[in-house]
Amino acid sequence: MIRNNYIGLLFLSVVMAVIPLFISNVYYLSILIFIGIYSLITIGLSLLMGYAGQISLGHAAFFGLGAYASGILTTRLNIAPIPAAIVACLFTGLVAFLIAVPTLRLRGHYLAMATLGFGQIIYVVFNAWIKLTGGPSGFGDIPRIRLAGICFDSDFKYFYLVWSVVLVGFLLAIHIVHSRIGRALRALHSSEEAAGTLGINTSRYKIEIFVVSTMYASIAGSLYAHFVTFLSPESFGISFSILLVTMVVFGGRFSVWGAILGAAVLFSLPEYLRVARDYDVLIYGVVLLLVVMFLPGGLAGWLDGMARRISLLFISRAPKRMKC
Amino acid sequence: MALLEIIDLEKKFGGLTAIDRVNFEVEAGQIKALIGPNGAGKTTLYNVITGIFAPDAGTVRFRRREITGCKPHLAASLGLARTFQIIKIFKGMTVLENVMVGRHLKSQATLPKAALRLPAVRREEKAIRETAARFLDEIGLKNRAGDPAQNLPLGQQRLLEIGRALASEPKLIMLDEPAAGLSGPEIRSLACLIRGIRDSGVTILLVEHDMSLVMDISDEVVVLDYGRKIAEGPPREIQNDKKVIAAYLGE
Amino acid sequence: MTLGSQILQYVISGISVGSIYALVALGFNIIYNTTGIINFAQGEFVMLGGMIAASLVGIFSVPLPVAFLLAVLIVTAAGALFERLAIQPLKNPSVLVLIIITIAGSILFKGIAMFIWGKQTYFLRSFSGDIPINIFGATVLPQTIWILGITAVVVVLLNVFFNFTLIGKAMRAVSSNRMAASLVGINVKKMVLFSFALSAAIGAVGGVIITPIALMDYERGAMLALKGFAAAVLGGIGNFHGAIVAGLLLGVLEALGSGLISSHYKDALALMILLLVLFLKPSGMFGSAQVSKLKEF
Repeated sequence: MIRNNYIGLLFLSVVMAVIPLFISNVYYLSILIFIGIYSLITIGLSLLMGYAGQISLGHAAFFGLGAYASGILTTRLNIAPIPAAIVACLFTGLVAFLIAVPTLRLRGHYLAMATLGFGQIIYVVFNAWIKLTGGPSGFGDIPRIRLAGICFDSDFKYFYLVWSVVLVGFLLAIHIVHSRIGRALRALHSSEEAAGTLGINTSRYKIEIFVVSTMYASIAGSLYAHFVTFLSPESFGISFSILLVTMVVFGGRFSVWGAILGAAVLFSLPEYLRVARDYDVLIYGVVLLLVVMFLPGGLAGWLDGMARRISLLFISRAPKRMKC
Repeated sequence: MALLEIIDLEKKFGGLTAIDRVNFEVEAGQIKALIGPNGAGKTTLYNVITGIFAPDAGTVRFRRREITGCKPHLAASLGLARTFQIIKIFKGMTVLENVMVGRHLKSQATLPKAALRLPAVRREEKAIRETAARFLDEIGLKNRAGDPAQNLPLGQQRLLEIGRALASEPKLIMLDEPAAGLSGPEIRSLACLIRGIRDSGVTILLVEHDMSLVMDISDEVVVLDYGRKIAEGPPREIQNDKKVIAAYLGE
Repeated sequence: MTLGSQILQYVISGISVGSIYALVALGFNIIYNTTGIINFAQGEFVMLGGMIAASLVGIFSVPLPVAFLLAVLIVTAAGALFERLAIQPLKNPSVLVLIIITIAGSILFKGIAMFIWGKQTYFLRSFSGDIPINIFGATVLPQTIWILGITAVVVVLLNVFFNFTLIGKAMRAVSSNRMAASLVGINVKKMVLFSFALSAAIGAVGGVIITPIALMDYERGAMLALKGFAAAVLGGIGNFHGAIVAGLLLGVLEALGSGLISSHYKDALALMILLLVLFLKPSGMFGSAQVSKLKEF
């Protein structure tokens, strides 16, 4: 029920509001900031992959488009960060729309390869259009965000900024899931033919949700740009696209909560394992393989199953769930 | 008034002619049956009518509007609904949610409005849920509302597909072998249900193999064999038609 | 150098890289025909072949022909192992699951390669020296002749294999009609394993013969897979002769584009071709439109 989600969201908001007061080490704050930024992308991606059943192996490119657009608009054209981020978001959405129209007619492997191809093309452009993007050496000096007189230059302040955006994005996603749009998406995922005969314009909805997911990625990119203040194309290649898919699959692609879980666990996993930054690739590969083979619902699905089993132990009759 | 018009329809797959110059009409308020031996082209005909395939030649008109080759959701928005021979209920959703999807055409919330969950959207959601529950009640699945749709036994899954299609308040519903796999008593209550649907003002086109059901409830019968129409008329006539008997015996 | 011999130069270097794309495309087709799976890890087989051969010769001073053979054998084993561990246990996997599994496989291979060889680039000495040969004004490396020759041999061997050996015919039976093949007693599971092993072997051959010219590092797999897939789709997925023609064509177009227009965007060319084919004629140059529509994707 949507009410459960509201309660969960309220709980999460309170927790996130309070956490920074207890963390003295800035390093942990920055980890939480990255988790927030990545969660924003995975929330959008889970709408696309879990609910609509499509796949995108090129989402890092849209993250990059948002980041570079924000960076370029604020450094070269001196536009303020917030309007720049909005423009970047609209621009990314437009690019995504143009890509989506021919691409989403494809299915399965063809769709996956096409998204991979687009992601790579955009990555090549980041590297090759040196005048605009600075090429492989990247470009920096991206200004901080100023809002209502506050300059977001410390990790402490940035944490609140990022997580406010994440929680709003999360709320919107939950609303979409629990609406006729969400049901239409799940319907077209389950049987595109049957969905069509019930009046659902499957092409239009696939395109719409694709564009929405890229806009989430773009906003995350803008937040990223103003946080790290230096961009280089490496962060926006195939590896990151696959990492994003891993996060969604691991967290549980059928759940928006799973998106945050996936980002949180997988981003911090290499930290816990004290593994060199490079070997996270190997870990992600193993995780992806194991989750897909043994835990189709991901972590969230597993937890949900556990919770249901535990509640069955305590309640004699399972309550009729009218999930919406 | 002819609600559905099939005019000179043709469909070939490679060298195989699946539909060969088929012509017939469905009048408003009728229960019309479409029968024929296996492979006669009945489901292909359904797929062409609803726009899943485009025909190679011919016209399909629904409510006097040409819908030949149009995408399925267009025909649906005009009031044409269907069920499937191989059941296509929405797995991963509950029984009630399946019917709620049927209300899609009768609701308006767009993506931005849904994301903001404006009061109008909230009201619409409530209405969708209540109406869907009513339809569920009418087909007798009210007590299964919260169950995952794929957990239902076959007969109830077929009912669910019908209920889902009815929830879109169609003018014409095309049933594809609804009696397949059902027991005797289930088929009798299906007949009752179909008559009830007709009485509520929905026209019915029915592909079916169960002859007792067909003879019992149809007003008119169309017979296909090898993609061609070989007979059309009231059930009694068709039963005695030599060509029809030969087609079925030769099977 | 005259424009004519410059173009000839590009065409020749394009054909040599194109041969590798053709080999990767053949690998895709073999697995696709037998199983309907697109193996995203295909490019890693090429990478591993090159890396293993380079280390054997460079570090352990193994004679070149032995290193070639060993590299192919090891990668073949890796391909077979991957199929056994990750593909075979799946019951009725959905397309999404298969895509994710082969992607995971490619990540794993890449990660293992990085673990073993690190991030640096590896070099393999040319098979018969580096003295360039002059053909109509264009300089051709002897290695290029090796590449073309060995690719041709592979193509001929594959032809013989699929048309004249029992296993080859069995594999063709499986790709034509899986059910019927199992009904006549063909062990479908073994054929699937075999297709992965064979694809891995072909990929490894490609890796060994291209490394003397193009060098090799742990990251190359992904781009090779994408371009090889572009060639496979361009030639009509599942179509062997199409794959060869398309691979060579792709290599030549890439070389011409890079040489005559701009080298920065070189990689994007193959990708654009892939996208254009997918959007405009998914059945490729030699595939049939109806067949590609009906194939369950």
